Amino acid sequence: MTSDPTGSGCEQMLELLSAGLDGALTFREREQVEAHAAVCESCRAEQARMSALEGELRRCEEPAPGELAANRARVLASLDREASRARGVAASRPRQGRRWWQMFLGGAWQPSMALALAVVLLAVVTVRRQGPAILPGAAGGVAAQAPSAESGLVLAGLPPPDEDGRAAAQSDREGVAMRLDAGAPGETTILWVMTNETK
Amino acid sequence: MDELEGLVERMRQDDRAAYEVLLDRFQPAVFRLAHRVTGNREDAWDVVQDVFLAVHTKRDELREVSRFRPWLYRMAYCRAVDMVRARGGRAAPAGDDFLASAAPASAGPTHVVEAAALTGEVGRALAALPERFREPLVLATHGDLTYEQIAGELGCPVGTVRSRIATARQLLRERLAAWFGVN
Repeated sequence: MTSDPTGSGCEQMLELLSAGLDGALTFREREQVEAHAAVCESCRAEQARMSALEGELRRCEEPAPGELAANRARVLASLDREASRARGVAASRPRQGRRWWQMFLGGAWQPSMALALAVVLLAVVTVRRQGPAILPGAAGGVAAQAPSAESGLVLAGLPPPDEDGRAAAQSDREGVAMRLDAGAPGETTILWVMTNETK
Repeated sequence: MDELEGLVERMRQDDRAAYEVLLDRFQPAVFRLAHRVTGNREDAWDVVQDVFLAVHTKRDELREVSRFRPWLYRMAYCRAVDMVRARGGRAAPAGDDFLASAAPASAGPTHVVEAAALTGEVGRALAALPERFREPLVLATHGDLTYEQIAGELGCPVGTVRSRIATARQLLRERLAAWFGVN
């Protein structure tokens, strides 16, 4: 190890030699390396050893053409599978994310559901105001009748309420179910209508 | 915007044809880098597959198209390192993998074995380097990235990258003194 008239020390040369292997020297630095190597045998030898090591370091395995083609096919097939899965999720997401009231806003059920909703809302409002009448049903069950003489609304087909005052049944309209939560006298009674979305 | 950046931009906009061009163009380089880190072909191909799937799924995370190559190679390096760790240790280049490539077929059997042994030693010495020295060195030698690009990916000054790479080479030289001589 030595110093040369340019003032470059051997320690500094190690970093410059390394950067030179990566083509990362400025023009001035290249001149500095050449000037130092011209007068420093030790650094010339080090430069030769680093070059030899670099050759080994950069040696790599080459991919075979068949491997490249196989991997290409694998990657693209994975992407296709992922895309199909994503499309499936996207298609099902609106159903999962819909709120109960959104069921009435679209599809073939729209007109009938809108009518049903209007009737039920009327019934619930009336029942909340005046209390329901639980009447004997035609098949031994009961019917919920909105006690408004004006509406004359009767939703039939409910079985007898259980001990908790609840009754539930399928409507004659497919996909529509009713549930009555009959409160004690003076308490709120709610009539629920639930539906499944159909396509 | 050059041709590569144009392809990357199209790929970011979900252009499948552009993605396939990038896949064809960069598969070999990613394989070479991954093989240098993992030390065997099977793991290297797993890394290549993971990386290109990630390129597709994470394409929105690439803010600047000009950084595609550093982004790609750094991802390849990290995945290769993860794979080696998941395997439970440092990469040890398999001698069999290197036998075919370490020496020309015309070389004698002794030369072939010696060349494979040297390549294996280089791989082991590289794997034994501290991570802060090994990563910039591999990105420079196998990713063909500039020091500025590496500094941008690692989030450190260019001078630090340059210094760490020089240190990495010196450590390799010391560990491989039996093959390359000493000062």
